[in-house]
Amino acid sequence: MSDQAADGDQAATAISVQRLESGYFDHLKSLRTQVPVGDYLIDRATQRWALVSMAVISLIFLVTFPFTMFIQYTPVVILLYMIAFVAFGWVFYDRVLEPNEGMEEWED
Amino acid sequence: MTQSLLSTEGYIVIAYLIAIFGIGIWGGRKTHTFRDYFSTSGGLGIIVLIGTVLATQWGGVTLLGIVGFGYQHLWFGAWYSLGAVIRFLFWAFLMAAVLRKVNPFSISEWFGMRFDAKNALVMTVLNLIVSLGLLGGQFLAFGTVVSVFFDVPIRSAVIIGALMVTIYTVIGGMWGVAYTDVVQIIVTTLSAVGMVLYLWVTEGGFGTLRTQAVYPENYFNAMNVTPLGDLSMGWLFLFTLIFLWLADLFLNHNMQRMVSAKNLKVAYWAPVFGGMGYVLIAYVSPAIGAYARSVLGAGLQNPDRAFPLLAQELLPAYLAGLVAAALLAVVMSSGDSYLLGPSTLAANDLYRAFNPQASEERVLLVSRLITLVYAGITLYSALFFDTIIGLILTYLTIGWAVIPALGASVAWRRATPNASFWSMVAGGGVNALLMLNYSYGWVPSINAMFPDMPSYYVGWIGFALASVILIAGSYVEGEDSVPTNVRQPVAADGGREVDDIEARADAALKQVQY
Repeated sequence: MSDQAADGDQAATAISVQRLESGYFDHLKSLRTQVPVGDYLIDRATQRWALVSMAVISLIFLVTFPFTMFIQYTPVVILLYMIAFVAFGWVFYDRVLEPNEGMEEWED
Repeated sequence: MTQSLLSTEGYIVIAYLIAIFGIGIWGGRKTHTFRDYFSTSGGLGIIVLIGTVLATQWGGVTLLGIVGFGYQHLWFGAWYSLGAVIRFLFWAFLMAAVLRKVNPFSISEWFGMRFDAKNALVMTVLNLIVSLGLLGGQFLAFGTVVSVFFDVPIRSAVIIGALMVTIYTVIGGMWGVAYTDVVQIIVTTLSAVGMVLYLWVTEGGFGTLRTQAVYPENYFNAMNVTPLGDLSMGWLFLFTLIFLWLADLFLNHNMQRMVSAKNLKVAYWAPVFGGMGYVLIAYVSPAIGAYARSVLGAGLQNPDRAFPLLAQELLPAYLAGLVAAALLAVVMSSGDSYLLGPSTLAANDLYRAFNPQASEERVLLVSRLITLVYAGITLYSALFFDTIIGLILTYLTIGWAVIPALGASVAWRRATPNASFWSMVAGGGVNALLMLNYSYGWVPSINAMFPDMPSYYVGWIGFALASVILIAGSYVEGEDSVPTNVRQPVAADGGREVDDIEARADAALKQVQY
């Protein structure tokens, strides 16, 4: 085990675990022993919000696109869609990922 | 009408290809180890990563296939593109943080540490099979573009494209691929958006197009997509396409980009901007297809050729040359990624499995050789398909059955290794058999149930089977079958939720010997 992992640091990642020379499958076994994958899995709140967000955005596309696209001024309308999309990405990062996944605090 | 390569268009394309080749080789100067070759050792900043994420996805499908779809039916192309937007959200919301934190070497290594070795092996094999179709689609697209613009036979053009992409990928590795992708995505975006604006000004907006007689009935109807045969519902097509796009997320080139990110923010924002790019494509590509139908008429035999033929018809030589270069750019920037992903996976997971003592330099050399061999096999298979999307969808339908296991790997603690393994094998196997049956008609009664249905819709069956096996199998096996490193989070980070603590307490109680 690498020093980093041995220190009990939360950043025991696949890359910080020294590769075993005894074989690939042994290497995978070693990773299962040393990398606490359960610590890194997505939080339930994040999972819930992610699935709801994807479903809602799909429905928004399904309902609004036919009414707003491929009409006279669509090149302008599509810009608004793109801006709204990135804005939603920022909200999700700020309100869901940052608090639930510790995006800012986590260090490699 | 095709041109000689020794024309204005030809000179522009040749100059562009030489430049891309040079950038790819130049990028390779940073490749010293196998990890550099594979993932830049986590060195990509936001601009380069967004560029390579977008460029990889904007392949032959985006500016040739989706334009061809748009040529046949406007919403055929639009719904197809919007499916990709949700795929990028899945990546950003659910996968980016987990995989960047864990930082596995490959998608197989991730499955190996999350589940077990047999899951890793299945992931490697599926990657090698599915990437074959995606890469072959890019080679074919390269040939399509070259043969439309120039008097070069399509087979020769496919071989030239395959050689170019292979050489700079072998030498440049992930650094070379990333740098060329950034240049290619800039050229592509400017050309595609510029083309639509040009058409908007010269041919009129959609208010004008809708009055023309060249469009068939329901062409502008979002909910009745006539080319879909028996299942013409637009909403069903959108949701089917969302899953078909998700089906390529398990491919290794995505993992390479997740672990190549400098930090978590970059890992998150790159796919978000990728999704934004496809919002744009949902308008741009179908619109070009619609304009192509207006300008070229309804008689195109191969709709994939709509964009290059339109450019050739309307634009002056130097602009048509730029469009040709842009179309080749999207194809090459995807092809290099689809080539690098599976070949490095094979070097790491197969070669290393049997040669554990091999040095980094040796693995790097073998990886480059595997890249060459993989490109050769793909080139051979690509020469037998007629349409780009047909080739890609066939292989993606197999990958559709991997989505439940992939989602569970990052988000469902209870998923067990055996349930994950059998869900992928059974679901993928059923989808592969159904797709093959569609082509070869081994059991005609199955095909007769939906005689006029797009073949890839059968992917729902394997997906449903895989989901049931994963969920039911995990509950039947019980929590004790979940690997310890997943079941019992280390207390060092304080855990995450009360539920986790309760689960850990339950697990601890089960281990007490009375």
